[in-house]
Amino acid sequence: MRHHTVSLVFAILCILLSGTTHAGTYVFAEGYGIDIITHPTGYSGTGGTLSVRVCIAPGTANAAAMEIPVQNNINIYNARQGTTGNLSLGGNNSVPPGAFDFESVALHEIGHCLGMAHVNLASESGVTEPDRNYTKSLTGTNAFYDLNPGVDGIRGSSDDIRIDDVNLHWYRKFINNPFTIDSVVDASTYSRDLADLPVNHNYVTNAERSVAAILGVPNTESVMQQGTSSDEVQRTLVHDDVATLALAASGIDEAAGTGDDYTINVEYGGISTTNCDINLAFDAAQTAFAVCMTGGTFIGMDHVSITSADIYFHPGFNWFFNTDTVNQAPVLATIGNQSVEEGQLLPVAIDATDADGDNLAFSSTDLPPFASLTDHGNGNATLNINPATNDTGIYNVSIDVNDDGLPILADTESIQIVITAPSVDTDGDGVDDTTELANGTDPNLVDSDGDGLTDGATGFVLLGAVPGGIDKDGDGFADGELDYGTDPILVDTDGDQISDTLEADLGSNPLSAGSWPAIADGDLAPLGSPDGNINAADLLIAERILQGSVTPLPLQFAHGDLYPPGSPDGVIDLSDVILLLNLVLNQP
Amino acid sequence: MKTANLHILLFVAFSAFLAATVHAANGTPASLQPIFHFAAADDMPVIEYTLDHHMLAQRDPTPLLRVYGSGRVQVHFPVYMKKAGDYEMQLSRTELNALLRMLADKGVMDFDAAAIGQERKQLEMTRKAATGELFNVSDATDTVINIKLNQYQRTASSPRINGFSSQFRWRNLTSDARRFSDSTGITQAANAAATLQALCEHPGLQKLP
Repeated sequence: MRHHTVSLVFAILCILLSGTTHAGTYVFAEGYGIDIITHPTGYSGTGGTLSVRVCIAPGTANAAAMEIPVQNNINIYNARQGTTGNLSLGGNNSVPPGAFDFESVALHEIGHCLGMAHVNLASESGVTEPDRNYTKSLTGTNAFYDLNPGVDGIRGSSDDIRIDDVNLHWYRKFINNPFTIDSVVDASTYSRDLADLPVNHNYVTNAERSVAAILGVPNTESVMQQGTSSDEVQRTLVHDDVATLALAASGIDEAAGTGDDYTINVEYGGISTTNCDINLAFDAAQTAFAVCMTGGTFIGMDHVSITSADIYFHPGFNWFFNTDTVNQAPVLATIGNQSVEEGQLLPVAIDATDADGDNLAFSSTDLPPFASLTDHGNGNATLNINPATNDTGIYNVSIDVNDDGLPILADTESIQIVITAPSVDTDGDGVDDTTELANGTDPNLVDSDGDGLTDGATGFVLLGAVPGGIDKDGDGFADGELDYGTDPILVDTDGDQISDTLEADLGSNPLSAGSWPAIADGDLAPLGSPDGNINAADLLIAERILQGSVTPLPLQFAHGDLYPPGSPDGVIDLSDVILLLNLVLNQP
Repeated sequence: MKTANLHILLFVAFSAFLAATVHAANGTPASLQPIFHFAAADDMPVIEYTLDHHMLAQRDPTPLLRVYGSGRVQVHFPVYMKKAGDYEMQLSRTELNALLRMLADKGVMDFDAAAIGQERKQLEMTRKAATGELFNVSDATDTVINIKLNQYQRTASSPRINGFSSQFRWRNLTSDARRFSDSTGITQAANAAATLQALCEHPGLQKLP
């Protein structure tokens, strides 16, 4: 067993005599009654939602910089989610060396202001480091702390030998692991009585980082463990913190599921003094580092409600203010610019998502009168654009989506709504005149290049616009160059001397000179411009090809490759000449 | 209160305390004035003042303020403070005497922690009985003032104390001074600490390279 020196006892005595009231696992338990459970401001024994409003003092230093960290703290306390790995040190965080993370320190102090005290002996015990890590207690009848870390040598673990020290730390009955939490948290599952410890446990475990390591949850520590270092981040709760709040929330009867239970709802009051329950300020006259000062009053035998709560920070320290929000911003799916003709209706679907599952609300700015935004309330909205005559123009509009998180975050997209006059298609080929002029085709001719294909259209064309029709498949769209990708101002896009029309009709690729249709009619003469007649001139050219004095081009292959009939073999040889001779001889 | 204003006020407070102390000393019979003996040397601080922040896991152990018998004033701000670094200035023998006299007059040198602690406890109980109010301060700060003299006499007729050494340590001194303004011992000690704090902010301090 570890014994203290006389000087240490004297130091403890001096501090006790100074009369300061000390925090226990619940604020006020150490100073006013070991069984005290402390509740946040406003609780009087009536169940329901208990709103606790947190404000930043107007005019205080760093007020604006405090807003994000404080709102992050509020989100954390409202979520009340136990985490592991909540400690991040040195290069593993964004806090510069030599600076204190305001958000982490504020989370600790707000914890005090909600009624929680240190889980460890802490400095108020008067003991020195590292003994401050032992679990929160009072001295017993021997009037000094019995501090023996047990076999594992870890202070605050279950094998600590504490003799008659009076435990103040509520723990999970028969489990005694602060990194776990029961599905029901009340006095039936949590206890301060050492008789409820598991077999072979000597004392109550507290959620200190060394204890966490031996329990298999490294880099984890209760937010209410006193002691912070520069360049240390601890911005989320662990199960023990959550359980401490939950036990209090089981009400004065300390039984969950009864009428006096409450649910804490921490609100952000902004930079304000209005209706604030917890106030934060930088004030060198109030603290030398960081402190929460709480007033309280009894609302039952062992139950105290906080009546005042003020947190102060000293401005002389290097404070780091986190600018990243716990709340995640909604994400607006890309909308893009929109073009509509006068007289047409364009409904545009708008979608947004939010990783936090927050409620979303859409809004717009600078929406023209002919457009409206309908919020369907489920992350979807519709932008209806319905311009009338004389609405032609370009309209710059912003579409916004806001979540209802803390802080409220938004996503915005700025788009252009382009309203055009109805298009004019003089020749009815499905391409409006403006586009034809831009493309170099004739707005007055269906087939500018005379290749037998319309200039191309993706738009609807009245079938009666061109004699004979330009819609071969009757799909309501003009059959045009755009269907094949050919150039509307070239007859033979691939330059193989076979027109795009012929290639398109006979199934070869009009964009490839290496692809030609199987015409196989033997019409080779005149060379390069067949005349439609089959005669000796064609035979003569075929013989020259056979002899090698004429090199066949795709046009010659298309006409002169006759063998085998029905499936030419891609060469012009003696078999083809023989078949051509038969054709010539059989001509009428 | 903004920090800059606070510093100005602290400096004014320091100057006023010294002036008032010197003035009072001039008007006080010599037989009633405390007597200090210390070597005008740089080897051992006559006055040490520091703040022990409980919330800090790794505190810089160097005292915030050290005043030597030579009048040399050393101020040390830890690396995690905005004014991080070491600063120095020089007090005259008269100023150092005035500073010691102020500490004596404010009761710091003869501070009876047990008695004043009991007084505080009584005031707390009285307040609680009257209002039902409980009060708690988390993550306290201890104010620590160490004084070491070769010899100290409270007055000329008081016994001489050779090798005088005293340590004043009080938790949450400034908030206690506000809460227990009826306690002269606490409020005067808080005023003394405020004067030492003002010395730490003195514009005459030169930062050492």
